[in-house]
Amino acid sequence: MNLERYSRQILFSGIGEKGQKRLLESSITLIGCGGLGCVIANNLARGGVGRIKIVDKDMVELSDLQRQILFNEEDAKNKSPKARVAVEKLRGINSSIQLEAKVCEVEPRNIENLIEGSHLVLDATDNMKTRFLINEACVKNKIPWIYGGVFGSMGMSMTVVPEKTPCLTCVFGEFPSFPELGTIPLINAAPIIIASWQTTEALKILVGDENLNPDLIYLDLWPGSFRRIKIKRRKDCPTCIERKFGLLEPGKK
Amino acid sequence: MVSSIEIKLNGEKKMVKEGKTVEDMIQSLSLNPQRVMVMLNSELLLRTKYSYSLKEEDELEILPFFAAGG
Repeated sequence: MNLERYSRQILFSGIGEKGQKRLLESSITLIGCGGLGCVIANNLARGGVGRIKIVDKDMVELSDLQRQILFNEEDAKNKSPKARVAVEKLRGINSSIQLEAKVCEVEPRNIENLIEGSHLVLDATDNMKTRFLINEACVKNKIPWIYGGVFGSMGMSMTVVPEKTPCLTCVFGEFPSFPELGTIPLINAAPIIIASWQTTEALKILVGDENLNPDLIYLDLWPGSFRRIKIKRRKDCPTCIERKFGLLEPGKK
Repeated sequence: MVSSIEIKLNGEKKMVKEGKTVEDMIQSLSLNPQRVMVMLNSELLLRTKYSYSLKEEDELEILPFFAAGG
């Protein structure tokens, strides 16, 4: 196996040749291919994650080009499916890994199939309901996942390792407690930085480094602030303690 | 006379009048209670408990949540 393309990353002590080989044997599912998702897909494909599945139902639009780094004017003109365009672009960048596009909604009926066999799930979705669904499916199937969300010049992220760290319900309460916001203001640096944070956490998980970030991180680029917020598992968490999966298995008590 | 207590709000020390609730703090930040997440001493505070009266040395985090993926 020729590892030359990963030589800089192999020189980095946190990864090395052993870590690189682990990355090449890893499988991830990326849910959402917008501002966060494009950067995550780009970083992980270039970094040599062996199998990447990209899930997104949307088509490229002109207003996406301000920040969604894998798309161009032609894609917007053709209203091409984001997942498929991302995979095509990334194949031209790293043809030695397996890339798969799924142009579909993420729903209770298909999420477990979409994440099956993945070592990690990356969240880059645009709504809280899907994020809570990811949380339930990943907690149920004991697959780590990494939350990322952005607004304006702000963003936050947390890493969820089922049975070890707080899950989304521990920190945000139960769905459906959050109204969706619709079209939001956003500068392009916010998703680029949060997605880069997510992919760094992803690399650590995939190479087996257990020094994961334990906090919810929160940053606001405009004033230049960064904070770590300590979080704890809820003793009565309906999702990760009581293992009730109300979105995934509606009606089941 | 109402005395003051010292709390930490979003990482910074702050003096507040005794009896102030989490809901008051959300309002003081001009945030919509429907669109924030609140951690009290590193644990989630459910929305039904925003009437909680703050105590000396409480550490409160009130953050807007971010649902967008960019």
